[in-house]
Amino acid sequence: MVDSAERLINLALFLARSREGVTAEECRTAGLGYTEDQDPDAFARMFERDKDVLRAAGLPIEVDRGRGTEAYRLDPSAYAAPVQLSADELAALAAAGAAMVHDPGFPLGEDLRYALAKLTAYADAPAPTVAARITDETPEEQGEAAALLATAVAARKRTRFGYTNVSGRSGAREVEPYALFLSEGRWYLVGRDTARGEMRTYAVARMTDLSTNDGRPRSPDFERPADFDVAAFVLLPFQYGEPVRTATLRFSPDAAWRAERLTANHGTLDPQGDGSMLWRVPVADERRLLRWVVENGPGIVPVDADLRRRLADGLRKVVALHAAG
Amino acid sequence: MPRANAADRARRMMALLPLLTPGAELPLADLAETVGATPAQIVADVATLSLCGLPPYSPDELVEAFVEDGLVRVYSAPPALDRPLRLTPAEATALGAALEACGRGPQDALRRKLAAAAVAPDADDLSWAVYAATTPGGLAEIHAIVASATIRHEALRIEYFSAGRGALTARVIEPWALGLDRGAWYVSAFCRLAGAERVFRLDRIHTIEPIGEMFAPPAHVRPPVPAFPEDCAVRRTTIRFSADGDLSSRDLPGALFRPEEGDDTLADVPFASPGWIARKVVARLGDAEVLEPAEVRAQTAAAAGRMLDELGEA
Repeated sequence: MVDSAERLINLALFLARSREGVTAEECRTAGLGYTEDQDPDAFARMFERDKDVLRAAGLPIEVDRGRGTEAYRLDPSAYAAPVQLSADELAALAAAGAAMVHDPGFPLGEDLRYALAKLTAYADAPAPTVAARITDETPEEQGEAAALLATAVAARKRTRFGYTNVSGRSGAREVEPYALFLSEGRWYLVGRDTARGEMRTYAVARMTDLSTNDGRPRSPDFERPADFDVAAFVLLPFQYGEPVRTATLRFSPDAAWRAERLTANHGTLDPQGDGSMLWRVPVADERRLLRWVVENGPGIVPVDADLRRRLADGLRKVVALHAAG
Repeated sequence: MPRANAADRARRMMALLPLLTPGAELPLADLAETVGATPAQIVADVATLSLCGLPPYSPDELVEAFVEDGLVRVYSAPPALDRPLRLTPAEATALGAALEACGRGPQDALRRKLAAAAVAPDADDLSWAVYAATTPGGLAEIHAIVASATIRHEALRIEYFSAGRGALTARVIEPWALGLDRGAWYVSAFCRLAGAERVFRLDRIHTIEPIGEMFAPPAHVRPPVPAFPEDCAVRRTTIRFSADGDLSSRDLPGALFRPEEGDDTLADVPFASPGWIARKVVARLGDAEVLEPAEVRAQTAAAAGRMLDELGEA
């Protein structure tokens, strides 16, 4: 009796060798490990199961019905083309891999590992010393939940979970998951809340009792709108909630080069003649905006008089609290 | 054997096949790391693979690989599947998310190059489904240069925006190790300007250039300190947060909190750089007070004073 792993690999090699395709009967009698005297129905079930297992393992098996009976072979584009990477590109890839593969907060570590194993150019590249912490609370739980959600996003299956929002209200949600993103140490799900009929963003760490619709995995529950762009939902820390105003901030000439990096495509940047940069940006939480200004400075100040006053008052309070004696 | 395990094992063995190049002697530990298995699992996989092949199972149609002295010795190429398969949609998604976290957006040249070579054509639209938008723009090139120099032990000339001075300083650094902390990349390095170990945030590096000079790294390099304060020998400060300051433990990694009378909270916060913790406290604009040490209190007052100067409100 041949071990099932041995039979599976024999079948994979047999399918990969054949250009024209092989029938189930040819597979059965080729000596791959199927028993000669097996009941035909039992063989048919086993053969279907084996093909499913190999597909799940990433082998792209194609069905050719041209000859009257079904023949199986690999998709002609089954193999990756070799890629030439520069030393810097290899190093960047190695650093990304070393950072994410071992981080429990990264939900796709196993897939990333296999992706890198398949990039032959990468195989022998030395990796830099890297430590990573992409999520700052319950990384295992977040990583696990994000992995489940990533599968639901890819298969376009509805998800259900309990959720406590920022104001402390709890309730059950049913969501069509459109995309996941990572920001400031947390995973977020963007999707359409089916009860409210609105797009919402949810912190994965706040979800409880997460489940996805397991029924009919190959038939999607919904279509994602063609113009959906997840980047539009990734906000700066002071932008979550209803926008209350647009603020204008100034980057000093010394700090102007940092504007593009820090603003991450939010708001509009307007270079000034003196080398400084003006930034107009929608704001939902003024206190968090000022906190952001201080944490990312120096070289960034508000232009709006009320925000300048509020910042100056706060700074004077800090000075008074920390006065000597 | 449950089907999930059979698929896992088949996936692992198919990933091993292209690595079995004729004449290779592959350390078990390396293969184990590459496919995320234990050395014992690799031994079992290679034992099974050595029984696999194609009819009529003549020697040239078998997988000829054996384990000996901790090495996988390969005698001939596998009879098929000896080249890597294209990435599955999930693998492409994972790779995209990891590169995204290094500042490489969907249009990045490296991502496009890998996608064109490695991803099945119909998997293209899935590569953005997980979006690790953890870094501000313009970082990819800096990240690649630092990662490369860290491997080659090559010194770098950088212009760095130091938060303390609020200005660019030119310095030569010897990069040791990278760290990714909640969206921000750091590098620990020997700074020749300071004559000591320093940590730099990659998004505060304005310009960067390898200077073609190699250095000898220390025997043991530490990951960048601010990213992992709880792992390093660091100092601690006591900070009182007032009740209306919407305090989140997420803002202060490694801090210990205890409630005070009147809804205030006392926090025992680890820090490596007094400048870093002072800026954190200033940013709360009066909702937080450093109780001790005196040095951090003074730095906090001075940092707030400098910002008032900058506002023209001193």
